[in-house]
Parts: sequence; structure tokens; C-alpha cells
Amino acid sequence: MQHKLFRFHALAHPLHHMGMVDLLALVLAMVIFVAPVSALRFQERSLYMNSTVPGETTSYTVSFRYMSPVAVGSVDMLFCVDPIPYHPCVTPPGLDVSNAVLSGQSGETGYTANIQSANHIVLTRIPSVITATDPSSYKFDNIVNPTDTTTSFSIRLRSHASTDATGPQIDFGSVKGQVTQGIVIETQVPPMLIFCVAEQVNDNCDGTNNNYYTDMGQLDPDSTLTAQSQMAVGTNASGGFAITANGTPPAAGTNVIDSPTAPTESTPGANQFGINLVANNSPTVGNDPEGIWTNAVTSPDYGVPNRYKFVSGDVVAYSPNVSLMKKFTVSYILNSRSDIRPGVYSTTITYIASGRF
Amino acid sequence: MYTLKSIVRRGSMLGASVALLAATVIPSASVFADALNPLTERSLLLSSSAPGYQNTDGSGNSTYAPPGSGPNGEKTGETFTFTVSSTDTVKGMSFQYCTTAAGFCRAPGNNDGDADPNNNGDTSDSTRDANVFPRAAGDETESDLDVVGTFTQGTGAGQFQVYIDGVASTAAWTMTAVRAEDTSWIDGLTQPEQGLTGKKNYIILTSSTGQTINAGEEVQVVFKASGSTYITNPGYGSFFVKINTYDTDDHADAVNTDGDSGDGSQGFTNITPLANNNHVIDGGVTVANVMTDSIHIVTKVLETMSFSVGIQNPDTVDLPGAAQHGTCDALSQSNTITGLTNNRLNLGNPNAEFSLETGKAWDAYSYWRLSSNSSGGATVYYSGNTLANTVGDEIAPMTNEVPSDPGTEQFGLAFVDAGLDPLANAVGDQDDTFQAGYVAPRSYPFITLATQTGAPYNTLTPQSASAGYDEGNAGDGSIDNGTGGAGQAKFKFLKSSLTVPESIAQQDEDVISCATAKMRYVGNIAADTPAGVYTTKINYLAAPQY
Repeated sequence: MQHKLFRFHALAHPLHHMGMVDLLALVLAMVIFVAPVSALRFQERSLYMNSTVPGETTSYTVSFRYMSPVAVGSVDMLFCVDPIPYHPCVTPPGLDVSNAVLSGQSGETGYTANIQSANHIVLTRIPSVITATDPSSYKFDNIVNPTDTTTSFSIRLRSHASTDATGPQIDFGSVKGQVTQGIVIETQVPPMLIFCVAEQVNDNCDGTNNNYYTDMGQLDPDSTLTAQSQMAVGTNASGGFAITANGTPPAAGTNVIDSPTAPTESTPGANQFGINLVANNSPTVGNDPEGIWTNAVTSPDYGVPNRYKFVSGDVVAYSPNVSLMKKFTVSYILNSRSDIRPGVYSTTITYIASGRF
Repeated sequence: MYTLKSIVRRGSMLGASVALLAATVIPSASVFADALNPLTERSLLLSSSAPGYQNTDGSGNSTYAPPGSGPNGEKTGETFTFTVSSTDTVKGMSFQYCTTAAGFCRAPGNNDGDADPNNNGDTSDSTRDANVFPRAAGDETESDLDVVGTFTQGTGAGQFQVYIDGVASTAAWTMTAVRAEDTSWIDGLTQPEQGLTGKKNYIILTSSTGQTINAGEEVQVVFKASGSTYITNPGYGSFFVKINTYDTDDHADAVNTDGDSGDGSQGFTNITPLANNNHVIDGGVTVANVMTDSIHIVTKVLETMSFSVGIQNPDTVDLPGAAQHGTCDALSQSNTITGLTNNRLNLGNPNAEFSLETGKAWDAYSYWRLSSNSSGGATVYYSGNTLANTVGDEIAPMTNEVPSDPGTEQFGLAFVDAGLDPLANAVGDQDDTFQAGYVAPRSYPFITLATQTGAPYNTLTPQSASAGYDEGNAGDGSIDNGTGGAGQAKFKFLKSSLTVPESIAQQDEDVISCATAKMRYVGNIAADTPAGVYTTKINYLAAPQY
């Protein structure tokens, strides 16, 4: 025995001087402390899909808690139909992670995403010991959802000491997600157009005086005959409404009192028939539009006080979008020359309201 | 006996001869139990028939193999049952574990070595392996029977209890465990494991007052294992337990032994009845067996998830004939009543092309169903825009949980009770049935309604995620009052869910066997709601946490 001890000492003595003993101790320490531990299952695993619309590009957040307090250099994420690690991986139809971007990470961090294929991502970092005790999360943008809504899919997870997801696994597990067909709800908001015309109408068209005739009186070259009527309109047409005035100037047989084609002041002694939709004081007739819907307005040519015009088919009032009840008062003026031919001059003005749905 | 031991020491050949002689002559003398009044209907129930070296479950985890459980052969409990044939006051009982029913006793076990190589009753020169678990390499399938710790009287772990015809004995009993092997046991020449084990294989129960037991009464002695007090099974094979009852609590008066019976350090050796022994009342032998290897059934429960969204619960659909409904079928994306398909719902007056009205509210329903074995529960979200037309007009979402109010632009959703739908066996020809294990549709373990306060929901911790959506059937469940006024049901919808899904159900304490939730949607318009066709798509997301 003494002989053997002597021989061992003779062998070990030079090693001591070479620092080999220290090296041996270091190797032993590494063997002891870096010995692989048995694989454990990641805990608190979840997959949050920001959208479950089949085939849609969205973001996924994968969360899990590391269980083994050892150095981890990579996390392997393999997207398959089933979670069984040793089964061949069938890529979920439609899924594509090839453009995935690691946009966020918490807990154990320092990873970059190394895209392997359309269904394989490897997170890699400089190996470091797991210190996070809470779940870690990794958010990936630009993932295209699978398209099969009838079955769930899995992400097989493994952590490795290596940086390329090779070698023995440390922790493992899987999460599941599923795309679904969303609920499509369809309804209609029915088109509504409320319009009433009479000598007098209520604001909401819930009543009129049912008078549609006016005798303006005796034509006189020194004075202006006036009359007025009212109309109220409202619509939920998204393009609003338009009211046109249609008819002919007053006529008695072939004799016609012409109408100005541009807004014109009332001029007694001239043949003149015109209308506008605002309050006037020359002569005094009419009212400004009434109602809170400011988007329902008169047409510019018919909205100038004391200026009158009539061209059949002209839009006299309109709104560009939805407008509930607005009341317009139409003012009529009639002037005549002294030599106007006698007769009964009459006309019928028809107002047409159209919704632009 | 001393002379015999001396002879054995002198030579193996002579020793073998003497041993052979002993094996053929002594058994009839050394086994006395079954020569007396018999204990009948004897049995021994082991808490585990696994060999003593096994103390983990099929997955190799000790968590699911606690002391006294089936997979744990290292720390077992035992139950002896027998019927006495004599009426007497029993003050002592003994249970001796041996490898044979009669003859010299060697404690069961297959560890290497011999506790008494020279068969002199002194185990100080023992070469027998100790029961150290897990076993060293090469000894993985070895263990000796051993009684570890001292059971006290009681019914808990690490305790024993004596029952007479099912009633606990009123007497106070104490337990002693010692080694009781016969030095005359012939060690196998080619099977070194056949040596004496040196472990405690003899249990003595004594009571100073004793317990009167009448003939024909059943006695049951139950030993319950704990982490520190237990009986270790031998490594393989069958073993026998010799049982005796005594009318004395002084065991030395009852049996004749060599060795130290005082402190038990040496244990008893060579137990024989005293000459003209009158203290043994009844006796008998029972047998048990340990499996050299248990049946290990290993399986893995993998993550599962099934999430479906639909517009009709198939459990409410009358199937042709007497077809059976499954326990948790996927929801239907079509509706046999409305004829709609592809998860499409029409919201509005069916007599007016499903249009909304200013004086009346309209609703529609869909479902989602989730099953998952996620132990950490799950969260369900919705994501979508409010009703909108193609030019960007939108029906205002109900950003707070408020009642439906016709004449006001509103779009919202809320939970209602899916269990209130008439099931298929209550409609149609009523011949539909449901498979065993079927549970009527309900959202459990999600609490989705404010009214879900009774069983089984009252066992769950409060869940806040559904708070804004849990009154879809509030009050009388109306969505208007019939004259254009507000109803009582409440709804909510967040347009922001389109980009940040809104959680509406969350629980984190249970797996989800089959949670079925029914969603109710309401739509109202104002007079100035732009006309048009309004649509939206509501997606539901489920995120289980495993």
C-alpha cells in the first residue's frame, strides 16, 4: 500500500505544480454542479392569440414558467397539430410563422427569434441560469393563423442549454390554441324619409293645415304679390336629402310671367315670378329655415334674402348627410308689367324630396 | 443450544450436517402456533404488495406513492384478521414473519449477506445489507422485511388499532418489534441471500388489562404506515406470519427464547413454547405475497382543448330517430330553425328584412363552448367592432353595462343561461337521448351570470371578468318595455376589443369539462341612425392555462 501511495504522489506532484489539480477540481465542480437534471414540465403555460380569425395575421403571446434553475440558451417552439413530442409534427394547415417577429418578452429575457420554418421558431440567447420565478412571456407579431376551425393546434415547447435548441431538453410542455369562425351579425337600418308640404306644416310633419292653394290676388305693376308655403323634411339617408322645385312659371294660356334664372331682387312693374326659402323684407315674406339640424340648408341661389329665382328642377334645399326634421318656408313673389295681358295666371309647383341613401 | 452453536463454528461440513438434522427433526417442535387451538379465517391484507425496494409510482415520483399507498412497498401498513376459537382474556399477541409456514424461521427478504454468519445469535458480525433506498447499483431489486419505528395505539398514520368484531378494543395495547429468527436456519450454499436478515420480524402486542374475546369473535389488527413508522416488504416472494394470542402480557412467560429479549437489541432467537406452556391461547399461520414487480401503468395526459363557436346548441336539436347526443359536441355553425349558416345571425325585425326599429329592440343569440384539461383554468375573450355599414357609419356601442333602450343607438352583448334552452328530448318527437356523463348546458366553471350564486357555482372563487356582461337576463329579461321604453336586461360592448380583446369569462382554479355559454346581442337605433346594412363579426378567443 505504501508503495502505491508513493507512486500516486509521484504522479500527482508534478500536476500540482502545473495547476492541473486546480483544473481537475474545476472540472469536478462543473460535473457536480452542471449535471443535467431531469426534465420538468413548464408550468402555467398559456397561449394568447390576439385574433382567432382563420388565416388572419395576428400576434401570439406564449407564456410559461421555467421549472429548472439551470442555464438555458434556447427555447424551441414547434407548431404542430398534436402536442405529443415524439409524434411526427404535422403543421397546422394555413399556419405560417416564417415572418414572425419577437416584439416583446418578459421574465426570462435576452432572446432573439430565430425563424426555422413556417412552423418552427427557436428563441436563442447567451446561456444564462433561470432566475425568474414568475411566468415568462414572449410575444410574436406577424403570425398567420391556421385555417382549420375544427381542431386545436399545439405549440411544443422545450428549453435547452444550447443556443440552437439541440442537445438534451431541460423543461418541456405544450400549449394549445384554436381558431374559430366568428359570429357575423347583420342587420339593417331601414331608409327613412319624412317630407310634408302645405301652406303650413308642423315641425315634425305630424300635421299640416291641408291647404295647397293660394290666390295671390290682383296683379298690379306697382306692387308685388306674395305668398308662402312650408315644407319639412328629415331622413336617415347617409347622403342626406335634396328637394327640387318643379313646375312652370305662372301662365295664362300662352302668356307667361317669366322667372329670373339667377337670384334677383323683386322689381314691381316687371314680369317676375320667383321663390326663395329665407326671410325677406323686400317685400316682407317668408321665414328662415327652422330646426336644429344645421346640415340641412337651402341651396345658395334660393337662400339669399330679397333675391328670388325659379328654375324648374332646381334643388332648393338639401343636406349632405343624415338630417332629421327641418322646416323650410318658401316665399313666392309675383310682379307684372303694366301691359301684361289680362287673364288668370296660375301655376303648380311640385316639390320632390329625395334621400341619397 | 450453546453446544450446538459451538459445533457449528467448528466446521462447515459438520455444521451443514447438524443443520440438516435440525431441519428434519426440529420443525415439529419449534412451530407451535398451529398445534394449539386454531385461529380461523386468518388473513393478512397488505397496503401494498409492491416489493420493499419500490417506493414510487409508475412515473417514478414519490408524490403519488405516500406511505400506506399501493405503489409504496417500502412503507406499508398491514391488516391482520382472524377469528379466535377460545374464550379468554387476551393480554398478548405475536406476529412472526417467516419465509416458511413451519420449521425454523428466517425473516423474509433478499438482501445480500448474512446477519449471523456463524449462527451464534450475535449479529455484530453481520454482513447483511441494510434497507437503504434507493438501493445501490446491483441491489436495485432487493429488500428485507423490517418493522421500522414503533406503532402506537390509535387510528392515525404510524398507529395500530385492535378491533373485536369491528369495535375498537377498550384495552390499552403497546407494541414491540424485535428480530426473531432461528439460528438453526440452514443458510443456502448457493443462494447467499438466504442468510438471516437481522431485521425486525416479530411484533408483540401486550395489554396489562387485556381484552376479553369470545370464541367466534373476529379480531382485526390494523397497522397504518407513516413516514417514520412502517413495515417494509421483502424483495420478492411469499412469506408467512405466525400468529398467537396469549393470556399474559409478560412475553417471557409465554415463549422460550435465546438472546436478549429485554431491550430487543439482539432480538429473540429460537422461539419455542415453554414446556407445559399454558399461556398460549390460540394460534395460526397466514400467508401473503409480494409481487416481484408491480404492474406499472404509465400514461400521459396531454394538453387538450376544444373550443367551438356556433349559433345553435346541438343538444337542442331533434336528431333523426333515437340518435344519441354526445356529452360535449361542438356547437353548430348553422341553425335548423332560422336556416342561417356560417355562424350568421340576423338582428332585427324578421318581417322587415331584419331591420332595426326605433320603437322596439331586437336581439339574437350565439354560443361558445370550451373544454380543456388546463389545470390553471382559462380566459375567454371577444374581439370585434360594433355594427357598422360600408361607409363607416356605426351603431354606438354600449360602453357601460346598461339596459336596452329603443330609440337610442345601442349595440351590446351579454351572457344568458344556455341551460334554459329546451333540450332535444323535450322537443320534436321526444325520442332523443343523451350519453352517460352528459351534463345539461351550463357555463360552469365560469361564473357568467350574476344569478349564478348557488351550487355548484358557490364553490368557486369570485370571478370578476364577467361583471359587465352578466345581466343579459336581468329582471324579466326584457329588452324593451313593449311601448318603446327601456327593458331590464343589460348589455355592454367595447369597440376597443377589435384591437385589444375584452375578457368576459375567466377562472383559474379548475379544468373545464364542458363550459357552454350563451351570448345575447341587442341592437337599437335612433331616428337619425343612417340607413344601410350594418354588420359586425364577433370573434371569441379562448386561452387555457396549463
